[in-house]
Amino acid sequence: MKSYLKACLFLSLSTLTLATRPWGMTALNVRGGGSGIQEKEVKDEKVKGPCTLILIRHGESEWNVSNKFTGWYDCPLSEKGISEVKQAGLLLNEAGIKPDIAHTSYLQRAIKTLQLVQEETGTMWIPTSKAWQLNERHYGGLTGMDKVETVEKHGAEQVLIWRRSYDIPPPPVLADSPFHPKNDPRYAHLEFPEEFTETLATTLDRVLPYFLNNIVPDLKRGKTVIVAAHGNSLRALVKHLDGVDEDTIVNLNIPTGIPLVYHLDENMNVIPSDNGIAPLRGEYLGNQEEVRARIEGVQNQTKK
Amino acid sequence: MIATRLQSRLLSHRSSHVQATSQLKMTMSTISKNSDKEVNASDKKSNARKFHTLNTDTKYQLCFLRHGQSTWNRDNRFIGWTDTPLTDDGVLEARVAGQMLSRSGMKFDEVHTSLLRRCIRTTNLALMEMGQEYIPVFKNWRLNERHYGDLVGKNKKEVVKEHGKDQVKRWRRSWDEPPPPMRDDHEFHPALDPRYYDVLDKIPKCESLKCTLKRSKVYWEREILPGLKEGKTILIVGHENNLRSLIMNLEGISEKDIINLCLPRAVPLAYKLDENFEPIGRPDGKLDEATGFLRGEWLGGDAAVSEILDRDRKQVYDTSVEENLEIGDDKEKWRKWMHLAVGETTQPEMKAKSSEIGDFFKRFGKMP
Repeated sequence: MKSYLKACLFLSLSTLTLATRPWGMTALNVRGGGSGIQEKEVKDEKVKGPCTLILIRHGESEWNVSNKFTGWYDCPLSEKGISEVKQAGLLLNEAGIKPDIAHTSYLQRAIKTLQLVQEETGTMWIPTSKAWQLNERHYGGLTGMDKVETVEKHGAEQVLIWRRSYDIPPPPVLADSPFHPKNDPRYAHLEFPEEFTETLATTLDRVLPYFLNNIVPDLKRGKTVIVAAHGNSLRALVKHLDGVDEDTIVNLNIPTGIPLVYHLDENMNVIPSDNGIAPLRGEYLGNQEEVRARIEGVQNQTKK
Repeated sequence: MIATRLQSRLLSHRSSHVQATSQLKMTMSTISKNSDKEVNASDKKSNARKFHTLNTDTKYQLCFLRHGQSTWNRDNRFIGWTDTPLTDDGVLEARVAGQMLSRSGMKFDEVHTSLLRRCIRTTNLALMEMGQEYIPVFKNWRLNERHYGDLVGKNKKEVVKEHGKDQVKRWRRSWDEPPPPMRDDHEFHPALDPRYYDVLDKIPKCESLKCTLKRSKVYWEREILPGLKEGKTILIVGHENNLRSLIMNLEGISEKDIINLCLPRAVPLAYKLDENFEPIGRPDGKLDEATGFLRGEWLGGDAAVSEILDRDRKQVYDTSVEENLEIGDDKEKWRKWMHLAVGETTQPEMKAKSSEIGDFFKRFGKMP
């Protein structure tokens, strides 16, 4: 009987995720991965109620430092980035929050952010899924270009449009460029158009289904889920969670390496936090003055 | 619904970017899965191998890797399921193992490991050195180390002095003689650890190798063999006894002989497999010189492995050796060589040594 129920559960989960699940997604809904969580899944079905979602943007990366458009380029964290995320782990410990399940992107700066947070919080063993859908927005032909140089070349206004428009795409990356995903083996199982680029709108179009199909089911079971991702993929998530409009979301800065905690009820509605900094209803952990200063700080990247 | 939203955004857009955005309309529908790709007609291997592995440069299909040195390895204590962290030497061992794997040209499609942090961090560091941090890592209690019962926490050499070399060798390496069962009030009882909350009824009080194989074989047949059959290249990062059980199963080592197989930390053992997923032996037909049992290949070389196994044997059984061989002068020398190989750093997780020259440069002839 138990194995019949398990089989039904597996089938229903896999149908939900079939549309957006590449082979690269792990554990939870594929095959018995994780700490044997699927062995108890059936018993947990009735547990519902408030759950916790932790969002964390990866720490400062090397290309943040050299001020280049990064997108899908797999650059590592800088030394400062590493210490930022170790600090994030300590903040989670202080707040008494322990994730049960983790999601991250295919990019090492987010993966390492997650690993370091997991080491600090003693949760290295939790099931962890890596998904290309949580990648940063691809910057097309601007990938690898220095932000200041790009302003000099195209004008500040044009660059601002590319960076902060909801749906105006930067120039595409071409198929022979090293920055085109088809030239990266980790995306070999996917197909991309010959000329590829993304906007915040198209980023949301890939992030949201992943969230709804792969993260929400665990939240509904009352689990604490941590998502370690990137500026634009997290913008897509908070836009959905807090109903932020398009004009506001493009200017919203999510500071690196600071955990952003949401509590949700059984119907996946956000329970607004007293410490929410508008327009977000989730709470950034840590000293609130410093958090506000960090939110302001990201805006100055195109100024010399 | 998503398609119509894209459509309406397109129609209302009046600038010269319309052409570019119409390209984007294709984005979501064209980023599709290739899992239905046709099997290559010239592929002479089994039809079941439909998966397009990333491992196109080597013939290896499976690799075993034991974790790096953890605090209790250094202190020569029985560990079992206790979640000891890696030491700095252990981090170095893991990075070196990653470099060995990187240089072999092997690329993996997935990793299977235990719930214990010494393995998970070894995995993270090795994947970093290979530039493959993006692949899925499956963690399961069935790949945990053999449960050492009441010996957990005790110093190995002290136990040898107390019970004799032969008894300890049987406890550690025999087929079916388990160590004494763990007391319910033991300081390091796994039931105290939240990660086992859903398998409490499966936690053993102690295990012989036979018990370990029984639980790890379930995982092998349920998760690993199907992956190999699909054509995936798999890395298993595990613990000495658990890996011994899986290797015994793969190589067909007898119950009588298994007592003589030991495995070194952090040296990858790579296997080529035939259509029946049996190991393909070395070109000269010989078994490995370090253990005398294996058709797989030690990526660090047989000589290095022999030295390590010799040191491990002295560390536990040779009561005339009082010093701790896990620390000391030889270790200093080793550390210097390893730093030359993988670079010395205070932030091992930051980036791989190999990323300095990097894949990128090799493929495109320039730095990004």
